[in-house]
Amino acid sequence: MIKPFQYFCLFIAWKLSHFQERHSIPTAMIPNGRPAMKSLGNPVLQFVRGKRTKSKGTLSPALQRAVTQLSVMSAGRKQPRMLKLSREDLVKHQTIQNCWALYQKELRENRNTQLRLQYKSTEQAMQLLEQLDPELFEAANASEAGKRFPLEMRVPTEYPPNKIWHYNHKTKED
Amino acid sequence: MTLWSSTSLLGLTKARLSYVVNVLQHVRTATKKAAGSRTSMKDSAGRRLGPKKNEGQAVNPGEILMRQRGTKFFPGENVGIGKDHTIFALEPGFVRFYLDPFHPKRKFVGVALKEKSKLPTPHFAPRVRRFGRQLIENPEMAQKESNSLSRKQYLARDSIADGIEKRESSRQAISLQFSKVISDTLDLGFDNNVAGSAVAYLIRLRSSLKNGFNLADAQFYARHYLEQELELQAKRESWTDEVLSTKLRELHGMTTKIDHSTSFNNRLELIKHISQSERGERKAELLKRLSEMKVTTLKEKREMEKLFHSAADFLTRSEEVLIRRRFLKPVLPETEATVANTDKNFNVQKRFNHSRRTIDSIPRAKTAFLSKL
Amino acid sequence: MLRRSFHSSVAKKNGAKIWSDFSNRKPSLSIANSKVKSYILEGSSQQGPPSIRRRSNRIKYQSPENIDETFKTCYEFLETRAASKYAALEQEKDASKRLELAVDAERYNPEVLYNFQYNDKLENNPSVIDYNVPVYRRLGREHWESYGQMLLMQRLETLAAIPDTLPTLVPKVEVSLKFPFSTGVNKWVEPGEILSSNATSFPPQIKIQEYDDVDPATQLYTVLLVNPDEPNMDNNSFKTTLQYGLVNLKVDFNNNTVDARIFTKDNVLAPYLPPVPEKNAGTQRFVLWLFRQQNSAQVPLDNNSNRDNFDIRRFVHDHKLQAVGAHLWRSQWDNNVSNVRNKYGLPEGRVFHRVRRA
Repeated sequence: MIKPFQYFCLFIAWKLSHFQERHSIPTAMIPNGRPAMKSLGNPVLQFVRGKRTKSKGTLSPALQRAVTQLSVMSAGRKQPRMLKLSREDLVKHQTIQNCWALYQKELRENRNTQLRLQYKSTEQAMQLLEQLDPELFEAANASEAGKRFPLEMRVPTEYPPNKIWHYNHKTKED
Repeated sequence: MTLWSSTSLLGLTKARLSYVVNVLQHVRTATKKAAGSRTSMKDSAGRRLGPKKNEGQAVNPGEILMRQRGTKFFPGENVGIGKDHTIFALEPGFVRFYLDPFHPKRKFVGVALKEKSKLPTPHFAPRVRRFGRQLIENPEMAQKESNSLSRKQYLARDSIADGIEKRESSRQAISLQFSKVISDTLDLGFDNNVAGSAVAYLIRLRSSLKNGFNLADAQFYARHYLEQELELQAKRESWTDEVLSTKLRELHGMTTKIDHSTSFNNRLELIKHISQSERGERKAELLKRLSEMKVTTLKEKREMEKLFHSAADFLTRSEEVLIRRRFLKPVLPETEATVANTDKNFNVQKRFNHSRRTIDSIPRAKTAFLSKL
Repeated sequence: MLRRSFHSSVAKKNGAKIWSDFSNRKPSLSIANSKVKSYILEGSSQQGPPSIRRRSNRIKYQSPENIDETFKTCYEFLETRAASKYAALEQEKDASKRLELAVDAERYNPEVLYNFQYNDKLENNPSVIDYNVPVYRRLGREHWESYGQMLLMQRLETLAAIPDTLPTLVPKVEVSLKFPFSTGVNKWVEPGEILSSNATSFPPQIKIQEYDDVDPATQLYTVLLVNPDEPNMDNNSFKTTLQYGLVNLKVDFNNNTVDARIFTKDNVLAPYLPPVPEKNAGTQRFVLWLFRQQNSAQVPLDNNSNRDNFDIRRFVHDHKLQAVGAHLWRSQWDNNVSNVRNKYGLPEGRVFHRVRRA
């Protein structure tokens, strides 16, 4: 089944392709493109009198050139080209977005109702505890301010271990 | 330093020689302080800021109420603010310094128009305004003033007059044409008076159609315009109700008669009435005849164009264009029929093939080009 | 935890095909053009989208990848939700909740979206955008609120129509104006525009677009056109005049342009007086107010309000009117004013000094 999320990824890729097409940036110049990896190695420093010995950045010359070219261009030219979506496809796209938003809303609402129920039942349990054993209730509600890491904490398991404590345990000595 | 050391040495030697004389002398040499203190010489005279008018004082327009740096006080009602935040009166009245609950952090200076009134005026109450213009009593002066033109109008007066004249002459040409059509071809039996209003109605109708209203709306707008004109005339000339109602009835009869006997074709020329069903029939007939024809020679092309002569009467503009494009194609598409391969009688065109990224040559029979027949 | 995909059970539990069943839904909820409809609902065809006119552009056009498959899944998902809304609608008794459900059931329908986005919303064709259908009313209101309503309020406030005429306005009804009788110009007036005396020499056509869920059979409206800038030499100030008054108007959701075809003499509180500003008296505002009348109570025609010195606040209070919409334009003296005065038999206008003095 094709999922809307997959579609959105493809849609973004499509938008990006519009951008690349417009500026005809070769893949070698894009940092994540594979061919660029070769040229990203350390440049060989050759001492030339009067030449700057420390490069300004760590970018390779080709990449630096691309960055300079992009910085010289005005912001308006860097806008991606207007997407040409036909009316029908725009409606389809909006429907997909609506559907995804509605689905996420449903998930969110389910999660919130579950949390609300959990909180309610915890509260009920605590009220019951207060009636049954005020001391235990106090202990359960004791302030833990200043405590950095609960020492009582251990990895939760479904059952208690068969052997509770290794009384004869000794640390290994090298 | 050298001086000091020499004198002290001298003193020491003298002390050793038990002459007790205080020989340490302060010598002030000629010096000049090169630079002044960082903050000296920077003070300016006071700028005479502050309120210039007090609460309740009477002011005239243009009088300054407040000089300030920044907006220590904001301009309230009937006052203006200058580029250096000077607040001045715009109306004659009485100065008020006040607070406005809508801007709790601001202080305001305003001018109340009356001595008793308070500022700010309540937020939802109408503003208190002064008209402040005098009537020109002298009729000659009044005439002169009403005839005066602004500079812009004065400069444009010739072109405006030309435009008016041009529009008027074209209107007259159209009305002449319409009256001719009404009297000659339609023969509706209108007398002169009615014919005149019929022409006015048709001009109105035509302009409404031209502006893109649909036919029923345009007919109503044109008729209602004339009705209103009649009603206004009745009021001016104090007609009785009966006279007005007969006139209105006459007008109504005339417009329905015109609506049933005339139409406008898609070039907005007045023609005989064509009903909706007749339009459909004639369109179907035209389509049938066109589909039977085939254009290969100049003669056939002329014949087909002849069929379109009266098409403007029963087709809408877009329909006409579409049908024309469909049947009178300037270049026929490349199909088996039009592609000539063996004949000498063919024409080759070059075209870029986007999918193969090559140039294709397309041979077509010479009869496929309408303009070269 | 955020799961970024549909669970496989989500799309499968589809109910009835609620959006393709037009047995008891209005035909305006469907796309009229069958080619466009099939392109959207049944997937892209080889010929390209039918909305693109030129064949060469149609062939060149490329849809985004996987849009059809994704759309199909999403359409089914939304349709199941719509079906549940319709099921809830049948059970529901409360009118406002019923309206909400009726809107929610259709507001994601791609056919409705298409119809509303690509057709005229002001001069609507009822077979495409039918404002009797709640979802179109909701979309129409949202569209109006996105620009037209804000523009109107801004103009009313900057030109001080509020509070010079009425204290304030809570806009609920879209009011549009046109002057087809005087010049035959087919143009909706933008609020605050300065119009020539020729253009305004005959009464305007008023379009009253109601978006709320009122009953059009019983709801009555009043329209008042006032000019708060008539010079009053007695107190060196201004007075408000009533230029035009229409009462007890009834309008539909779709058929709602008010002109002489809709009302009769029994609806005219005050016949139209055109703007005839005097020379050097400044720009005058003509504010058109629309009111809902309360509980289908009629406003009597013979009330003793003075139209030359009209107190609109008092009138509104006396007849328990609720201001729901407004519009305004401005007029200045021009060469044609005297012609308009002659036409209406008005006295010649006063002429004021060019300079305003204290």
